[in-house]
Amino acid sequence: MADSPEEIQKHLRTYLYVFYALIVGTLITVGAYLYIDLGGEGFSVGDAVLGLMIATAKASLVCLFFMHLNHEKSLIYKFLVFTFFFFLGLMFLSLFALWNPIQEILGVQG
Amino acid sequence: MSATAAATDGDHTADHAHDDHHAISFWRQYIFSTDHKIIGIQYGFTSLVFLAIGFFLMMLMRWSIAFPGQPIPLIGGLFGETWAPGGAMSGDLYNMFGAMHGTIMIFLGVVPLAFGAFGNYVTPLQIGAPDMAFPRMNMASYWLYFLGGLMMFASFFVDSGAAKVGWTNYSPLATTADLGYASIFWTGQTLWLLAMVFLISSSLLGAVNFITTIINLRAKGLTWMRLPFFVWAMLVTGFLLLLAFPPLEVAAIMQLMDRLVGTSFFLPTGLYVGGEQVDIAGGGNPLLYQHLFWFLGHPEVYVLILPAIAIVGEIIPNNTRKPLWGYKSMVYAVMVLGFLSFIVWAHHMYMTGMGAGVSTFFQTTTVLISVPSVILITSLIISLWGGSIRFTMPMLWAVTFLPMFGIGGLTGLPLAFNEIDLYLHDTYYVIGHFHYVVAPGTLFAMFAGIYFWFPKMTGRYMGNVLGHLHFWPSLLAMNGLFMPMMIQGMAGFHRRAFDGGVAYEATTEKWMWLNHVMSWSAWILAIAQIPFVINVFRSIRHGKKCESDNPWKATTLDWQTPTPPPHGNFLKEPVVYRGPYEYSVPGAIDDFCPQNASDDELDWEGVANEKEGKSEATVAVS
Amino acid sequence: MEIPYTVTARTDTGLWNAKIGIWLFLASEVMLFGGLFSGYVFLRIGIGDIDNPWPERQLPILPGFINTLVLIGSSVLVVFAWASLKMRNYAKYQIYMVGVLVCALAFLVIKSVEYYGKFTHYGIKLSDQTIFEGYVKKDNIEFEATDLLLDPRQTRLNILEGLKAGQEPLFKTPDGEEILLDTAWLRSYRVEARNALVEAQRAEVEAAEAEGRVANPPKQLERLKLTAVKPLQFAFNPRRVRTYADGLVVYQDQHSVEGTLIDDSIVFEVHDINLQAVKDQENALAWQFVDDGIKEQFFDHQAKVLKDTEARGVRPDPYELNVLKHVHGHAREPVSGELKEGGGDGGAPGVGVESEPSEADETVPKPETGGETEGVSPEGAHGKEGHHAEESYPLVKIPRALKLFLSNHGPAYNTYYAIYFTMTGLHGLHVIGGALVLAYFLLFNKRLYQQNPEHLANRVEVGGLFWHFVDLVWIFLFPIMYLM
Repeated sequence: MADSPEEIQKHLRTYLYVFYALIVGTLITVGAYLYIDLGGEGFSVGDAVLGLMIATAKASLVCLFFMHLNHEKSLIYKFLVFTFFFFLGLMFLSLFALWNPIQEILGVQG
Repeated sequence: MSATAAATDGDHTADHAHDDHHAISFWRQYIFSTDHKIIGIQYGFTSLVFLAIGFFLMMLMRWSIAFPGQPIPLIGGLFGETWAPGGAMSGDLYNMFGAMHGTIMIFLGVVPLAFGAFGNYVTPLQIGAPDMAFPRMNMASYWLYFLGGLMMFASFFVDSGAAKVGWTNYSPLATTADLGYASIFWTGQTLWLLAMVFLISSSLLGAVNFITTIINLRAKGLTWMRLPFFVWAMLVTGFLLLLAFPPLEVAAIMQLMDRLVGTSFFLPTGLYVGGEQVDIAGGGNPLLYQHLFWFLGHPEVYVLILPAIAIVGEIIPNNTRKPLWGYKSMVYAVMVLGFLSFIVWAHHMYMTGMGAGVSTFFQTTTVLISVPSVILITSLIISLWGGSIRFTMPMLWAVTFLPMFGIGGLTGLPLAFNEIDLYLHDTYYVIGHFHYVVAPGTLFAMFAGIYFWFPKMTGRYMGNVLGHLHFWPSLLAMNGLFMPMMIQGMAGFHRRAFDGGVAYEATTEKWMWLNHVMSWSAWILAIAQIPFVINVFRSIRHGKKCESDNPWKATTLDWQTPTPPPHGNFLKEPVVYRGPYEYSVPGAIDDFCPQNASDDELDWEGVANEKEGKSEATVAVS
Repeated sequence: MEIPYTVTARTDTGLWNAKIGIWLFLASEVMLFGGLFSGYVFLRIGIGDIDNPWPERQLPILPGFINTLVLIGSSVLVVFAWASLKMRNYAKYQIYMVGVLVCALAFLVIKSVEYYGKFTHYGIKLSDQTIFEGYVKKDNIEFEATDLLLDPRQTRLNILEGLKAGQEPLFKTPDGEEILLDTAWLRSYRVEARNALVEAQRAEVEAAEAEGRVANPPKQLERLKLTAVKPLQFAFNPRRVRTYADGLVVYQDQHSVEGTLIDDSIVFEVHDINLQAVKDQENALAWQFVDDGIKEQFFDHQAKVLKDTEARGVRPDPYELNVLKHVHGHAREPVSGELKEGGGDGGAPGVGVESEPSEADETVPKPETGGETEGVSPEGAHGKEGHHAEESYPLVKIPRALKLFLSNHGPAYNTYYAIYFTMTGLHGLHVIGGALVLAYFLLFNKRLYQQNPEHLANRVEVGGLFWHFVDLVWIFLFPIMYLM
């Protein structure tokens, strides 16, 4: 267990660095919006990937350090892996329903 | 030492109960109790009442189907001229009862009974825990359920009547229904959604509690592969509820927004209702609702059925005096089943016009999921092989569960295929199929469970004569009720016709007479439940007393406690030495080895037996 | 009886109960917000065609940006609070925890300001997809009623809430009796009418039996026509009117009034003109309501944007290209017969300036003028016309028949706002819930700390995990809702 007071004292500095990193991440997001334009007509897969990548990076920092997922018990990881899998299932399988190969072949507008 | 070493005699129990009494008031002990056993019993009673209400609605619906347009006898006048002109059921009232029958039976009846009642009462006992991990959360879960149920029931009495668009509450029909009333809030549709939010929150709390309890409060020595199958099933059920319910909560919130705030999540652009364009922004998608709904809806089916299989899985080895056949494969099967149940949901949606690609995917996964289900059922059937079966009351129900659930499951297979489903989906065939799964399937297992654990809860058996009076007519009436539905369904009877098909007489004529068979079966089924109700209340005080704390001579920890178990369950912390189903272990003198009995505590052949009167292994079961 | 492992971890799993519990709860929260995110993606992708574009986001980024920083700050403070407890420094824990709560409060305040701006800002979509954005000055149906048709099946009498102030609902019944209509009278009338109906039904059945024919008893109660003693002035909220035409208004409670429609037009203060979804912008309906100067402004603006983007070599943002912000100019003088569509249910006056805005203003349900924009009152727009003409926003009068959709920028405005409000609202509820729990730990758990400091540390860790999750959701919400 890395929970002894001395260990935690050492971690405090890490938390502060993570905090700075998160602020920088937010600035990058806004910067990307202002200079590359994440939204609008130019909205493309690339924009979505970029925006989500920055967000995911920030989220990972929060998860790993603030939520201590960098040293957690295996059981918690199992929960989260399953949950994440089902979330992906919900998201992508329902989107899958919007695609109709038959209409595509026949050239019918969906 | 005897096999019942850990269990103690009646005096001790009384002492212990007495100890606990002094501090706890009546309210804290029986009403706002945090004891998992009381909560389990509360869940049990409430859900049985809701089951009765749901059943009552169904009987009235069957009247309308068998005798369309004729006044309902005795109580027809109670529903008022708006809903039942001249005492005869109107289509609206039929729709209302149909929707509420489904909702009440599933969300307020079977799930709370299976998961809330049996899960709460039995799980902590079987894992040797003093209580659930979060007792106050457990209480909150029950009371949220109770409030949700009350709200659902109250919706019958608002101006608009209760929800009328089926238990699935599909948008846009559900969103635009009842909008003409002065207060949209006080309409059946809105109250349905609010009640669902309560029920979902209740289930989430319950699921968190169950999983935590099973993971962290197992007794010493109770390793994963020593868990009774019941506990495994509860664990998987807990995960199903935990991860499948939130998307339904999302759907309910979105539909509430659509109804109350005027958003259009599920309402497409240019929607016309009753010849008028609806005043909304549009841009929503009704398909989204169905995705979110069925993402819960299908796992929910397994929430209904897994506890049932689990109960049967406890009763069969106990009454065949043999280990459960294929325990490990059943455990893995139940995990695979839980996993797959999340990715089969769209087979309920073949009729929606979603893409053909996705249909193919879901068709495949749906066929796949029958593999673990068949493993479970086959294991249970093989468990019977070569056993010296005691046909006790619980065993009768449990054994009957197997063919009944088998019919339910097998009739589901054709529905997995897109092209067959397109024909059968809106017919009585589907009704017959899922009722076979849930009514003679799950409910029979629930009855088995009630007869099985009743002696643990009260220290008395339920009566056998009344039991048989309950069982045989129920079995016949259940089949008389649901088998004809398959025939009618294949003949093309539409499942939502409130007149039983009179309007399409040219095509339905040949099988109309089955409506009478089914309706009479339904009413006989109702009469058949009377002995059960009498039996329960009579046996609490006047039932035959159990000879010991372990009347069925079972191995699992729930039977190694005093009867009824005191607050805190176990007199001393149990330690587990063996697997869950060690019946008829070669060499042992008793035909069962309790999980908490070490080898030293058991009597073995060839070892001198210092205690007298221990070998009377004949089971005295009334 | 003690529940084991409430504070210390079980050796084989390495976890105490609440930690498993909170992670399971967070797993279900992932599915909750996951469901919402899937819904968002599903709607956004599903809607993507040219005729029906995904509604553009128009949120100012600054509040979202500040809120992101606020939440990140509160997240790190929670960790520090937990660490202080672990190091048994209660004073520092208190300071950090107060910091967390201040952050939570700041977040909620900023969010409320944002919401308020949205709720007071309106948009109206005309039948050719022209969108005016600004403020509603009048939105009601003025009606002079001579008769009232009472539906005796109803117990409510909501129709009278549309009555303009200072009038008594005095009516004459068909019998010539003069009554003051209220729910008590309706109730007593219903009882009478029901009894009469039952009587009539019985009489018909008996008569039919005597004559040997099939009985045809009256099925339901007839509507009762009440005549107003003197004509009554109504101003109905259009959202509570079921249908209306020149002679008749059917209210939501099924009662209706007969008489003359006075005015059902909508008076709107136009701030922005959005022609994003209009195909023929040259002949957009918008130009029939505002003068040619504004039309010129619009096309000048468009030309400028095109030039700019061409110079930079990028595609123009359609929102920027097709929206004229801060319109300066006048509404068009009334010109009859210019409308291509309109008239509709009849009686709707043509296009024109609002002639007597001050009087109309009295009947406006919510005459608020803007949160974030400098609102100009109707009097300002007209009374000081000469003085301030260039600064004023045009006040246009739109026949109701041309209105496709009118709403504030609340959830009902479009799918984007719907998802925005639902997700941020739900997130806001999580912030409130989390803050309440943390505040409880701060205020009421001192004794627990004295008895068992580890227990409080565990509690704060669990609360903190939830708080980080709330932060995590916001980290995704910010780019998705505000930027993409």
